[in-house]
This record gives sequence, C-alpha cells and structure tokens, in this order.
Amino acid sequence: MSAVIEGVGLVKRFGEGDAQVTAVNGVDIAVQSGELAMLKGDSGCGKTTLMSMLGCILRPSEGTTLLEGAEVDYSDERVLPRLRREKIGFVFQMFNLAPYLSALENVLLALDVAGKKGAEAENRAEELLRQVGLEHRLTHRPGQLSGGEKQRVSFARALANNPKVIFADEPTANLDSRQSANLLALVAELREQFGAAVVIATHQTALEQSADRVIEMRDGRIVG
Amino acid sequence: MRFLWKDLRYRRGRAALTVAGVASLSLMILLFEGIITGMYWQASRFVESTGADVWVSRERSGGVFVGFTLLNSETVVPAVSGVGVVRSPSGEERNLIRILDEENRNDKGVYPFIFAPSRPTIRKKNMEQEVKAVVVGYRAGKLGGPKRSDIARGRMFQSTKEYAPGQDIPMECVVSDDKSLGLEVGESIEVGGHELKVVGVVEDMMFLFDTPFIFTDINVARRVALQDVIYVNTFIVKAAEEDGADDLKDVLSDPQTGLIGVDVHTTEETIDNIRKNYVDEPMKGVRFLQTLLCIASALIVGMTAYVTTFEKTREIGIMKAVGADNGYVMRLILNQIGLMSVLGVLLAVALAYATAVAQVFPFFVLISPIIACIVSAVSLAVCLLGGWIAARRAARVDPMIAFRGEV
Repeated sequence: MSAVIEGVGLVKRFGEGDAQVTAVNGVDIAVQSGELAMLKGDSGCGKTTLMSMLGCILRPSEGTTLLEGAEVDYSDERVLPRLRREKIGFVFQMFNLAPYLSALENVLLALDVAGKKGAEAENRAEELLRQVGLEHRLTHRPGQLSGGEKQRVSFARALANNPKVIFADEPTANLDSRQSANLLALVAELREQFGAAVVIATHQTALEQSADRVIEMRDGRIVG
Repeated sequence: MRFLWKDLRYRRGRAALTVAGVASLSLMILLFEGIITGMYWQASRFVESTGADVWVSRERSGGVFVGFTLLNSETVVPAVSGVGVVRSPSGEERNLIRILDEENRNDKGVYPFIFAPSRPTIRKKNMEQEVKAVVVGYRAGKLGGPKRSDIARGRMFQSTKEYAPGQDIPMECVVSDDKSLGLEVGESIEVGGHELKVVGVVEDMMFLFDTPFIFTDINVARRVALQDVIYVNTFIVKAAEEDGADDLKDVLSDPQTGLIGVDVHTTEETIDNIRKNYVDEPMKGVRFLQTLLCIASALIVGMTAYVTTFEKTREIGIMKAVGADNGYVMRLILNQIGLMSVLGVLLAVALAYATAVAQVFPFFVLISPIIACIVSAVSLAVCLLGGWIAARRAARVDPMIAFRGEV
C-alpha cells in the first residue's frame, strides 16, 4: 500500500511570545490508501490541529504535507480549496449541515462547490444517500433527522467528490452507542466500497477495535 | 440559484426587511428625481406651447420668467418688425418674422406677452379663498397661450385689438383645470381687484410647482396685473422659417443694427433659464439628499449583508472546508445581495409609477423610463458596493471554524 497522505515534521504553533502554544510538535504520520486510522487522545492533545494541517486547511508552522506523493503548497491560496474539494472529505462533530437545505441538497452543495451541477449531480447525491441508507430521507431537513442520520448525510457529503482521504473529527461524539456502532459499520462498508482512507479523531476508546491502526497523541506528539 | 432561494426563504424576515429598505430608499430617490423631471416637463410644456421662437425682454432683466421686465409696446413692435426684415446684397428683402395673419399685413408677427405670478381670490358660497396662480396675457389666436382647439370646456376669451387705458373690455379668462382653483365655466375669480369671468378650461397646463394659469387677453392682463399701463412684460416672435430662431436672435441682438436696451433669447434658452433658476438651483438640496439616500442604501444593504455573513460565518467556514474558494463564497453573497437589491429596486419603480399615476403627491411627479433606468442602475450599483464589502469579509472566513464546536 502507498501513503495517500503523509505529514513530515509537522509543527503548529499558535500565538506569539509568552502566549505561544505549540499544538502539534514535530509529527511524522503516513496514512495508506484505504486505511482506517484512528487518531486517539485527550481533548486538546492536537488531533484536530493535525487533521486540519493534513486536510489542507491549516498551514503548518514547520514541516510539509504530501498528498498522493506531491508536496502541498500552502502558500498558494488557490491550490488549497482545489485539493480539499477534489481529494479530501470532511466529517465534523457538529454535523455542520446547512439547516435550510434538505439532505439531498446538502450533498448537492458539495458537488456544486466542485462545479458539478444538473441531473448528473442530482443522481450522484441520491446514490450516495441511498448508500448511507437514507433514500427515504432525501427531502428531509437536518432538523427533521436524528443525530445518526445527520452524520450519515455528512459522510455522503464527504464522499460526494470521490475523495482520496476522509477526515472525521469526533464523528460519534454526539451519537448514542447504538448510533455510533451503526455509523462505524457504515464507515467500514464505505471504505471498502470507495477505497478512500479514513482518519477518525476520537477520544472514545470503544471505537479502537474498528480501526486498522490506532495512533495515540499526547501534548502535540504521537506517542504510540 | 436553488441554494440561494432556499437560504433567502430560510432568512425571509431579514430578506424582506432588506428588500423593503432598498425599495423605500430607491423610491425616495426616484420620487425626488420625478419631481425634478416633472418641473422640467412643466417648464418646457408651457414655454413650447406659446408657439414663440424668440423672446424679447428688458436688457439684463433675466427674462420674463426669471426676473422682472417691462417693455413699451408702442416702441418695441415697430422696432422688432423693422430689424426683422433683412436686405440681401442684391437688394431683395427677406422677412425673418412670420406674419401669422396674411390678411392683415399690419399684423407684424411680434406679440406682447404678460406673465404675472399673482394671488387671486375665489369667492364661493360665502367662502373667500386666496389662491396661487399665474396670469398670462396674450392675443388669442396668435402666440402666447392656448389656442381655441386647446379649450377642453367652454370657449376662448374674447380678444381686444388696440391698447386704450380705461376702455370697456370683456373681462374674461380661461383657466387651468386644477383642484386648487376648482373653477368651472361660468364662475368668476378676482384678480388685482377686478372680476374675471371664466369662459373656458384647459387641461394639462400648469406652471412649475403645479401653479395654475389664468389665461386672458393682453389688455385684460394689463389692467389686472399692471394697472392698465402701456407696458407689457415681454414680446414674443415667431420666426419665418422652421429653424430660423437663431438667425432671428442674431439679427435682433446685433450690436450694430439690432435693438437697443433689450435681451433676446430663443425658446430653448428661455426653457434653460427657467430650469436653472426654478429647478436646478433650488433643487441642489434635493440632489444632496439623493446622495445621502444612495449612501443610506449602500449602508442598509452592506449592514444587512454584514450581519448575514456574520450569522453565516460557520456555514461559510464549512463551505470553505469542503473546497469552496473565495470566488465561490463572494459570488454566493453577491448573488443574494443582488437579488434582494433587484427586488427592492423593482418594487420601488412599481410604487413610483403607481404613486405618480395616482397623483398622491402635492407636486407633479413624472417618472420617465430613462430616469427609472438610471436611478435603478445607481441604486443597484451602491447596493452591490455595500454588499461587496460584506462579501469580502465573508471570503476571509477561516475554514478552521468548521472544526470548532461554536462560533
């Protein structure tokens, strides 16, 4: 297996002088294609910051990121959005769905951002929602969906543009244990189907058994 | 557009307020412009309706509409008539002034004209009311006022021929069909201590600020407005040729051979003078107000867009996290603002036309399609400018916000 995304010597510092905080401190990490990696650690250990740098959202203070072997140029403002919409998918703890759009339209929005419109985009969004088991909820708004269903919509949105890697930040934090288990089963299934690597940041140890690899972080470093 | 409509529907209260704000400000800008355009139209309408090509007034008086001018009719008519005849090198005479009465060659085509703003009194059913009006004296059937064919109801006032102080003349007039006068054929009005009988009514003929006219014979106007003196305010002349106004003016104003002690203006210049003095100068304050309204429009839209983008910060951050670039975010915000602004401006144009047609304002308001287009374009431009500033802020939203629990 080849590394789909790789962080080399990643450091992220926030603030200046005495108030400076080093959130990520010299992390080397590689995620293989199709791998399900669990990023484990207490709150504030740097998981989200590391995922943001790997996800081309946050510019590292030091170090580089390689996406499919090519170095990410953080200085080019136009490159980062393109990489995010073409190669990376995100799932957030708070679901982050537009409240005024239906499940179908929330997925369509991600396709629209990538310039995909019309019947083809509509078919693709419907197909994705069917694959996450929400074919009966297409026209429902987030307010009419359960937490588990919202997170399924989030996964469908993350998969919309065939990403190489999906970063999920505490995706089960707002779900009960049954919904969490169902979601993880779905993630495993989708990973098989789409072949994308999945990196899940969590502090819930119960999820570890589903992962191919568990990466433990503490104080901005990988410790295991 | 699908997401845009959904978003606007979701935030319909704010969207409606923004549309209403843009509409009311654009409506005010349009109505102010409509009042100015209406005054322009009224000035042109009356001056052009006199049929005159050239206006002769006392030197440096500013002209009959703008300043105060008195001219002696016994000296001016022969003088103008004489100068108006030019001789070519071959000795052939060419009359630059049109003779309106071919049967009466003594009729020189130079006509006296009185224009006197006044405060006549109307008495009806034991009620006495002073009103604002303009007394216009001219020779019926010649130049200076409505023709017989312009009379909507009743007839034209009777004409008198020569000036003779104290002579017995028919004290008749034709009035504008106007609410403030409220006069009909058979009623009377007191002007300068003299009773004038209304014999006819003309429609669509008002001076600036919706001032009604009292049209009457030149000698009657002399009596009621100028104490029966031989003087009149001005002389109006019709050029012999269709485009002969400028030639006639040049000849009459020639320092060597022209008239002494008078100013000569073409009708076009006369209209310009009225516009400058009655409309452009006094309306400077209105223009300033229009500029303030434009700024207020930009602020309303800009502030609404700013508050909306602030409220949507998280949403925008998510969009950017899933790959939206700055251009996509700016387009999204500007499209929303553009749509609300277009709706607001269209509403304003519709309301402006409706209120102008219904004549709900104390002034005549004329909304021309060109003015509507220009005001709409300016309103849209300032709204988009306000929105663009907010959209720039939206484009700077950090996508990291998507990872945070709350904004």
